Amino acid sequence: MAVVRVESLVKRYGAVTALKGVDVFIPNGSLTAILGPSGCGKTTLLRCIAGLLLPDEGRIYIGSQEVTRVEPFHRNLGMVFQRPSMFPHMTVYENIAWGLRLRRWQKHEIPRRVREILELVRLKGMEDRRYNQLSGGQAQRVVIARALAPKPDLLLLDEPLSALDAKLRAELLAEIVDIQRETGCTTLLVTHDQSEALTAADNLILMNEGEIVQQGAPLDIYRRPQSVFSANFIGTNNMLPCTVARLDAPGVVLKLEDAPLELVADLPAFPVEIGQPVWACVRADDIDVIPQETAPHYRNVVKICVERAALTGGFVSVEARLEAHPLRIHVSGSARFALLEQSPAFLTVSLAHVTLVPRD
Amino acid sequence: MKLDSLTAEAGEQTLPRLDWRTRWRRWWRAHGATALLISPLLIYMLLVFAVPVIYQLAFAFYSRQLYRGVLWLPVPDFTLTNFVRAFTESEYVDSLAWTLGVALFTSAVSIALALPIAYFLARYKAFGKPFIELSFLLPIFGEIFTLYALAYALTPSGPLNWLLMSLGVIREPLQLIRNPASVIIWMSIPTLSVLLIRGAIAGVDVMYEEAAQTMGANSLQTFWHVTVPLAKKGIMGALLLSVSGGVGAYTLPLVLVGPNNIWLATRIQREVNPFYNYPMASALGVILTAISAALMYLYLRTQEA
Amino acid sequence: MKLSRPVLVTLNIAALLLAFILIWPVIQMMLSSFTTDIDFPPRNFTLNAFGNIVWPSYFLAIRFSLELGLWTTLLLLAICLPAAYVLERRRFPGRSLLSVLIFVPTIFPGVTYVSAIGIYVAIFFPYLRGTFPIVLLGTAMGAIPLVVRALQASFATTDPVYEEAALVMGAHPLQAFVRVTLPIIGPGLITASMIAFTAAAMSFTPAFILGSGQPTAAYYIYREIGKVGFTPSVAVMVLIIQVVVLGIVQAMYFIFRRQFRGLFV
Ligand SMILES: Nc1ncnc2c1ncn2[C@@H]1O[C@H](COP(=O)(O)OP(=O)(O)O)[C@@H](O)[C@H]1O
Ligand SMILES: [Mg+2]
Repeated sequence: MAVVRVESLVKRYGAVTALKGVDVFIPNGSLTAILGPSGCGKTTLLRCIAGLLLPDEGRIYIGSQEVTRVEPFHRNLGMVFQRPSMFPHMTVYENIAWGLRLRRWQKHEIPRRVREILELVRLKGMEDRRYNQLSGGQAQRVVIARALAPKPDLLLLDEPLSALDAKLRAELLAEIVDIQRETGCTTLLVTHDQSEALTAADNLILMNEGEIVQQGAPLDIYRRPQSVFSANFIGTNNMLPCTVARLDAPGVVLKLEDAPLELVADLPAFPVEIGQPVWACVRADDIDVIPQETAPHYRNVVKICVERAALTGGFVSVEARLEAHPLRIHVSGSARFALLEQSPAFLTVSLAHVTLVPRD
Repeated sequence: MKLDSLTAEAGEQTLPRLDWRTRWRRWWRAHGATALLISPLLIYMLLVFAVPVIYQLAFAFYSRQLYRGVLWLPVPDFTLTNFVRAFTESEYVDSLAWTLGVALFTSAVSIALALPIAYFLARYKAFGKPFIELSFLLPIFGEIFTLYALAYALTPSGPLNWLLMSLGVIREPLQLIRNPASVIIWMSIPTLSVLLIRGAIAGVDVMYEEAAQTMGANSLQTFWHVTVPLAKKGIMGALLLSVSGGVGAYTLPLVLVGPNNIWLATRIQREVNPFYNYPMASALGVILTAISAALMYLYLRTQEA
Repeated sequence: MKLSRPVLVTLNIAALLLAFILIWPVIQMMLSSFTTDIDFPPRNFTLNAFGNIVWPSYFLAIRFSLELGLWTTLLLLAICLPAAYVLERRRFPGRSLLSVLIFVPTIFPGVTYVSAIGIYVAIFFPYLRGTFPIVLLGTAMGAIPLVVRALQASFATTDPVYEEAALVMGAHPLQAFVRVTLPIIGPGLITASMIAFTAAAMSFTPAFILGSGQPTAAYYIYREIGKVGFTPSVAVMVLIIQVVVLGIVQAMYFIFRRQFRGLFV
């Protein structure tokens, strides 16, 4: 178990710069998720940490030791790859035991440890099976067990669920979280699936185009995105172009562009001044349909005109227009559905939670 | 793949200029293991293939001289005599023309025979499929033994003559061994090319053929205007293999016709042994190689399109 | 497309006929091996042909063929395995050029570069003429492109993730290669060895052109044909060498197949 620190890491593939000076801090014992769209450099970062790639610039520390140029086999890590990597020529037992032997475990401890770890990943009794006798989910569990068995300083998971189908994915994710809690092993989970990251992680790192965009607690990033990318990447976010009208303790009053409308938002983390252009971000789930007569009790009440409404899963997704700006709303609960049915063309809504991100 | 290495090099050049020691150390750290692992093969191919072949190219322009009255040694004169002889003296010209002509003719015949059979094997479940597939692979395994075996089928008292005589086609047994005709017949029989073309045709979606048929094309038209053009790469590959095999044919004429046959490869060997005319042998070897290289070039051109 | 039944039957018969023509020489040779003469239809079945062979010298030729096959296999695996690995797994400047260069020999008719080697050795290393190493080098050269291609293909179809997993688990690269990569590419390795072995053990041209003393089986039979023509005893010799080589290849395949159980299924 160890703290992991990555300092201004740069990695180039020929003309492509996959990592452009990445700084990451992974607290001891945390389950940190790296979230970002495909091709943003997540795998590259993970492989640098694992030692499978040599970065062009920057430093990597695991615990107190700098490991930037240390060979992967001297790093004491566990890694689960994007693609199936259980050795097909070894049984489940051999897969795990070989890893223990490589880490110089005592001979007599190995069988006990293998049994213990197989119990943890719920594969008891499958010791003698080979890859072709296991399902995809089971094989991936073997790889997780193999990675965890020697008690690594750090567990790296590179989209460990991407090869599985949806149901298995949720199941195994929950198990990974449980296992991580139980072992307390510092874990780095790479994924491009926001729900996976939000579900599992206690620490979230948002990445885009080879750079870290935001790092923090998942809820914090969800509630207070600090950039357009953060705001757009997690959840369904509406971006309204505004300018700061005045500062009004404890918040900010904004003027919506091209419309005679004012919105109130909390004070953002970055300094603002009057007249500055900003994006007002409002999540689709944070927009509340309200009866017109109760309007005075709500914040930011506006009238919108509905263009399309469709039931998707547990909520109605409404595409609407606030003046000239498109607005998406998720309406849930029978009471709200009733309001929607009453006045299908116009709705009174409250923009309950507005956050600001810079706009230039 | 190509792009990778190019951009990698371009990337290295933009780095600040370093002294050669640092550069070397960096290069060694990045590619040292690679160089060590690949060098045995490269050294082997350099010493056993490249150097002899380059010398062959050089010898082709040498003349020869009797050394101590026992040994003909190549002398660096840089003449074109050998090539002039190769393209003027009738024994060489005949040999060249015959080799090329037979290779082209037999390849054309064998591909023509292979096409319908390959189509059938690609699209339908043939009766006796394992037997058929095995038979096409057989000649690759120990080619020369197949030739020895073939000779037994062609002897005057052998099965082919027996068959022809029983059918009343001929009265007297044909002398097929020591006769170039046997080589031509054998080269015309498609073997590996059936499998290659079958693979190419199997890669053509049946949908295209069905589309052509719904447009009113009959089977022959469909095959000729849709299947063959779509499978062109594979067919050209089979053709090239066949032609270059024919051009370089050595053991086949040697076994079926004998050591004094007209084929170019045998001619080269005879220049070495018994004539010890290394320069002439080299010149003929260069010509043979040039023909093969030209074929390869044509082939690559068809693969690009 | 749908072909009519008569056409299909015709094509099937044509395919069978072709297959029969290709297989017939082998059958004919077997028939000839067990008769007093080589006439067709075969009469007078005997085993006399087996008695008419000069066994000791033919055994020497077979042994030489097998030795040549064994050494070629070892030599080619030793040099081609690392090269194929690097060509498939490592990125480095000049990689694409190299992978083309390795296949250049395929466009050279075998006899031209074998005689080039012969001439080269005769002029520069006359004392090495006809020695075993020269025959071995010439024989192995011919199989290089095939062996490299087979090995490269098996590396290409094996995900590098296994090697990386082994490295992260604490295996030294060499350890990872021996314990993980080799077993996983096992089937490809056997295929490559089989190609190298058969090519060398059945080879004729290099021993014929480069060798001076001991002939390979193919060359021995060629000389025998020159002396006595196509006789039943020559047929027996051809039969024996083919049975021996194919038998060894089959046995190798069978043994290793059990070794790599998990991978063939
Ligand atoms: N071996 C490579 N050669 C060249 N470019 C690469 C290589 N590997 C990754 N890249 C590029 O680097 C970027 C980041 O890739 P990666 O780390 O795999 O992204 P992710 O895992 O986030 O999907 C991508 O643009 C990808 O195309
Ligand atoms: Mg990735």
